[in-house]
Amino acid sequence: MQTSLQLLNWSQKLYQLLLFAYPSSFRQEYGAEMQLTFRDCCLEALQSDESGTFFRFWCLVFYDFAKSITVEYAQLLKQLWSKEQTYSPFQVQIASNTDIGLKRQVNEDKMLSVIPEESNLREKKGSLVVVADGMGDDNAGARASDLAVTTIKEVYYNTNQNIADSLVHAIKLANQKIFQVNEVERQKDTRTLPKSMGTTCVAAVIKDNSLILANVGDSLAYLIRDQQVHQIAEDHSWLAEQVRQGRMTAEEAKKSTKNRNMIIRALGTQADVDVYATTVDLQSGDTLILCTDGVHTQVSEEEIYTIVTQYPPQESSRYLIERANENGGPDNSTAIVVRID
Amino acid sequence: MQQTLAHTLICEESDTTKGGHTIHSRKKDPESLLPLTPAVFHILLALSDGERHGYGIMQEIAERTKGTVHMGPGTLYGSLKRMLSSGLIEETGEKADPQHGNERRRYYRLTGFGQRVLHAEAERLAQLVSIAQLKHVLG
Repeated sequence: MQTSLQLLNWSQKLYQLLLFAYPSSFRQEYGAEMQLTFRDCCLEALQSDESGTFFRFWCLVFYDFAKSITVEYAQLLKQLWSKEQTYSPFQVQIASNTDIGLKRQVNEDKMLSVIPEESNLREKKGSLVVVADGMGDDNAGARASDLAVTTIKEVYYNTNQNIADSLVHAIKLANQKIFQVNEVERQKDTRTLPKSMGTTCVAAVIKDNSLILANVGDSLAYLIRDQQVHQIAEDHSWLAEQVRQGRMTAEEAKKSTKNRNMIIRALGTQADVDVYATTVDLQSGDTLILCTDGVHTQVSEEEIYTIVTQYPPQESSRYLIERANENGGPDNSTAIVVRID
Repeated sequence: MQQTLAHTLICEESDTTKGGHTIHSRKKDPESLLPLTPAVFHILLALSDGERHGYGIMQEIAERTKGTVHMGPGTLYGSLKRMLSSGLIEETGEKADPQHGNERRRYYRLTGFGQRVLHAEAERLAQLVSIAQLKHVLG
């Protein structure tokens, strides 16, 4: 038993040293997981009754190390080479618009777009666009959506992780901030119903040839490419969840009046939130649209397509809002249109 | 005057990990990735019946091949990295596996594209096997 423990410790230390030979980006991303997996395999080999298993295990580890390290460095060189060959950042045009709509007293939507002026920051972190749709009594919704967009911007540009992790981290921190405000509110006055607030959010980063998108709630994002509209955010409305779970067809959900305004995920309702994130390789000619449900429930995908392919971003964002109001304007509506050329 | 909520919230207790970091390669033809390397094919097969963490994938491969295929951590995570970036799999988040200590582990699952690629590769191999059968190679 004592010998096994010593062998395990010794093996883990040696493997830790081997990990340093991998490219640093690979080690940072997978080193911890590899160590954990190595420990499990090592334990398995040590517990085996068959003689020579531990020796064979280490032979396999060295073979795997030599093979995988060659592959990783070859991939790294290939990447560096192709980056030099193809590096050509797109021109990005961003326009945004928001409106209170025809039925609401307050506009609780917030939006933000950032193209960093400083070239280092722009190259490192790219451009950021965010849309949030707040909810809560007495203007609390507007406070929540404001807190969300400002926190996401602040945290995203000050986090030293890869793009997707920085964005998800920023959204999670925004969630914590709003949740904490709600907690303080709850403790203040226990005699009346607590005034809680929450918000949806959809955020996208455009960097080099990639679009990194993350969302919580029913504010959505669409990518228009090759004459097709792709919804690239995950809709966290109650109805969309019924479709995903197979309890309703998309057609039934479209017609259903049940829980039409209900969402199953939002920022500020729980201490932690599950953030949907996705990455898309960009192509010249793509158009990205971020919008609140005030737009996408009133303007069909066909209408969105017709508007943004016909007009430049500034006009497109205005027409999307105008169309939402023409179709009833029951909610605040916000749209950001990003053209990639 | 009290304003009604724009949305009603359901605060559900949920341990689902929808929406990990996924990389979509839109409109990619599954055939364009064939033939797959043995490592990638084994990983896709291991994930075909549900999400698993790295060690879970290794165990599944060793078990299914009766110990004839052993994948080391370097090959496994290098393959996972490339499979993530080509949209074959997606990460579903971190959680602990009570059977293997309390550490949080990253879980992976197949994407729709990954399933199509796995199916296409299995069909390609099945065709090869049927040719071998026709030529009585398999006895």
